[in-house]
Amino acid sequence: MSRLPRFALPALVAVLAAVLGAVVALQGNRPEPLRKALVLDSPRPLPVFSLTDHDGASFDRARLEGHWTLMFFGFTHCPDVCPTTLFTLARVAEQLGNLPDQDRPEVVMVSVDPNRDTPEILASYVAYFHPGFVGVTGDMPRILGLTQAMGVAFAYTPVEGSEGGYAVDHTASIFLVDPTGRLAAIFGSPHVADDIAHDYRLILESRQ
Amino acid sequence: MRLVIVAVVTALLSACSPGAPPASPSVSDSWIREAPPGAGMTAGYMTVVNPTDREIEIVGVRSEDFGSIELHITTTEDGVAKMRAQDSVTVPPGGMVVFEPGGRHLMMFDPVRPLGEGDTVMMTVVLADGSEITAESKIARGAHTHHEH
Repeated sequence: MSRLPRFALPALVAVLAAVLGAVVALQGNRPEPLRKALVLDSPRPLPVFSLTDHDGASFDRARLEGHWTLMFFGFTHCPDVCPTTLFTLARVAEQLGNLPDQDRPEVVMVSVDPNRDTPEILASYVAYFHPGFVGVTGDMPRILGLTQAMGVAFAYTPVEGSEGGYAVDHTASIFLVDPTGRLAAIFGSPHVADDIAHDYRLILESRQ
Repeated sequence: MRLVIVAVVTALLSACSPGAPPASPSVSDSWIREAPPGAGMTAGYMTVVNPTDREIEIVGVRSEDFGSIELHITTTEDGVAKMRAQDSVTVPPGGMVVFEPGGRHLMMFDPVRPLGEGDTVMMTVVLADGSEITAESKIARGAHTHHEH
């Protein structure tokens, strides 16, 4: 120590402090990373579609405009994945409840089982999870028009335990549609409410 | 020194099995999701623990409150969730199998009475060797999952 020049130690401390300061500053400027959302580089406009909401009213692309939408595809005779996802989305809605009205997402479940999921059945089903949720159904060709455009796959498989019963294999992702009706981001499963709410806020901020 | 070790080992052993007969397979944390309106069927969940030194095989579950119950598993491939029936589920020696939302579950068909949150249902888990484990399951809305703490 005694062999070092007199100013070596203070100089070293100064250099260390500068480096530390730069690292902290860099981290402060770095955007917080998304936890789960896959954000599309260029949002993809949804096609024109014409479906029916759980009140029997028309549900088309214009209904997606002016607010964000979290869209999920499912069916009411789904005992495991769909209720779990809808409870998660209810918690997401709760966590985003402190946002201004126009920034809160509308949650929409589109049925991939329109033969069983009438508007009446969907009305009581989605409301069970959250009073603000919207159930959407329609003729199979119209459902396909939307699912194919969004890259949503579904297929029917028989359920052994029930006569004539079937389940629907379906894409379990949650889709984020922006206020101009464009697909902006996709959340893959498994779904965690904290992560979806966190990423939603970040995406919202990046668009303001 | 040897005496001390013997004493410690004895204490540990007795802590694991406090004088009771050898531990047998058990069912814990079992609950059944309240069926949302219009759903017609629902799912049940449980943890099956096998403290024995031999594997056990779950071959069925029954309850007087449901027409039939099947062992199912949800798997997700390429983002597509698929639900499939399984003939049996094996629990390794000294291990456990967890039935939880988004994974293994009991598919519960045709409830014979209206079941709402807070109701209880007796279930019997049947093993391949013919033995049975009885468990009491609470009906719950199921807003919480293991993924969400």
